[in-house]
Amino acid sequence: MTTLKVDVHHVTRVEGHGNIVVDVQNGVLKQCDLQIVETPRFFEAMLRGRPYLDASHLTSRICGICAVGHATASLRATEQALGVTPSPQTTLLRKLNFHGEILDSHILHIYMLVAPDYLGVGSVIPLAQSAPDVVLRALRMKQLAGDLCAAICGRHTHPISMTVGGFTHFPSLETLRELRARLVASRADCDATIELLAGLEFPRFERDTEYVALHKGEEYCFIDGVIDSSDGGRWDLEDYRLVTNETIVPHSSAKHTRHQRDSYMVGALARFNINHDKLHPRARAAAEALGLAPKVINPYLIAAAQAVEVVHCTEDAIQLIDQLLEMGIRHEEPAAPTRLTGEGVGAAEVPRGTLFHHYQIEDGAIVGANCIIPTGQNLANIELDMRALVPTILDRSQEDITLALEMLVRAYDPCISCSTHMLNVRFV
Amino acid sequence: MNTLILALGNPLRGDDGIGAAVLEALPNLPPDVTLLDGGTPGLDLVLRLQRHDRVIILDAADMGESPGVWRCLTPESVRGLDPQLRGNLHAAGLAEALTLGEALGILPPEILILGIQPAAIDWSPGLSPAVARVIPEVCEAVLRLLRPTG
Repeated sequence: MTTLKVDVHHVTRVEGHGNIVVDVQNGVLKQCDLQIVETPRFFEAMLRGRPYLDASHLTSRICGICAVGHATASLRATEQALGVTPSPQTTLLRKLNFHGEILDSHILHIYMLVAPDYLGVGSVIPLAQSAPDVVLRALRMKQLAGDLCAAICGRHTHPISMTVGGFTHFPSLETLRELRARLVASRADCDATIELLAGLEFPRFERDTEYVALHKGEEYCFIDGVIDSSDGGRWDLEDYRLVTNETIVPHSSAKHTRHQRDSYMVGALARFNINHDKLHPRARAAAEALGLAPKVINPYLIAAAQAVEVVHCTEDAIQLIDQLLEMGIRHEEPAAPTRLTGEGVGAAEVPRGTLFHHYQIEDGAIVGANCIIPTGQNLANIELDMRALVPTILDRSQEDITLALEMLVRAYDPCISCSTHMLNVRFV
Repeated sequence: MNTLILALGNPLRGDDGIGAAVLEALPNLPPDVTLLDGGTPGLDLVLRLQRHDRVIILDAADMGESPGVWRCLTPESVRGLDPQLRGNLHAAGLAEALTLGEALGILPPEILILGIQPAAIDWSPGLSPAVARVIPEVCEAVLRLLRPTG
């Protein structure tokens, strides 16, 4: 096919609204865009003037999937700004809470959004008819993940008990023991998830890019750390702008980012490529079963990397609960600010990648805020993948090309409504 | 009969809080009746419906009626707006959960939906007077449904 027009308006099974537009004329790729048409959200403007204690509750509303992730990055930014040092118990509870959200989001993406393409069904509904055990497993795993979040932060969407310096509610030891038993029991579901993905035939498409993820000592990092790049180099969180380099592009209400190449990737595959050796042994074994060894440069395999993280987060959650049970749960007051004016950056590896919150606080009120969302960081990379992919599949039917592109966009699990910002329009 | 009374909706969005308001207003009920404020759940709702003989759902429903008008709806009438669920699964709600539950064959034998026509579902808490006024009648309807039939 030497002339091709693809216009997917909007891409389904992603969060928010985006269009794929491809124009090939006489074998030459003229246009290949992922247009982001979601309404701008204005969260950073909403934060200005608000008391610092409101920030995590407001910003958790940026996303109904990554509510805990936004709250966590927000709290870390505020804590950095105001010189708050959370207790070891708070740190453990936050990590445990975070795993619940990663599990919830990854299961949704793998089973409900990606699997239907690979199993040749249009959505999860026919899948429920043809393979009810697969869908019930997904729901069971999601419910456990949601219950885990609810036990720690009051509810999953949107957390109530997370606050600057700590928590306002604590799970009972009995609740933790129950969750532990359910997590142990869910190992069978984790194994079945890996088995399911091992049986899928992922498209063979490879494009090397820069992979960016947080890195922290010997742990598979989800909260804090430094920014690490597969192209080499590490940056402190305060220097995130040196990595993200946001720019405005005409066809997107979300900004694009670039670092050492024309684009970079964040998310499960980037984390896998950078922190693979920090995975729990069971997760490493799962990666091996899926044939994943860093560096993986096929973006369609993001779902496979997510499945590896499902195993890791399940195992790490069990270990975290063991630590908490051993320490006992103390009903401690949140750690207090040491000052009310300051500036801080918080970062977390939310399901789709690295999330930054950056606040300036004066006398306890937020006067400046910047949030950089993973999907925004992936947009340029998705487009470059699309541009590399299209010329290699021009011999296929328009329908097949469209599906390949949609599957590519879906692979990134884009959360489009999170990534949109106000465009700064200048009249000249 | 093991019954779940499930309120759906977001009380921060005006009349969308009618389900939760009715739930609050219900008197003490027998131990085989479970009350649950479900908020705005996604597909996971399916699992909450399981293992009950009967589910009574309280929810704001745009039926094109005057504010406060309420009706007893069947799952069929709210289901199947998008039977393929191709759209935004991240924002799945009751209709999607019922469609999925049907496909999985795990829906309880009896599901009744008390749909109340909202006046406004905008971004502020509190019910409009027309909707707040029907709370006692809807409670009464719930109690009638709970009464054993002859």
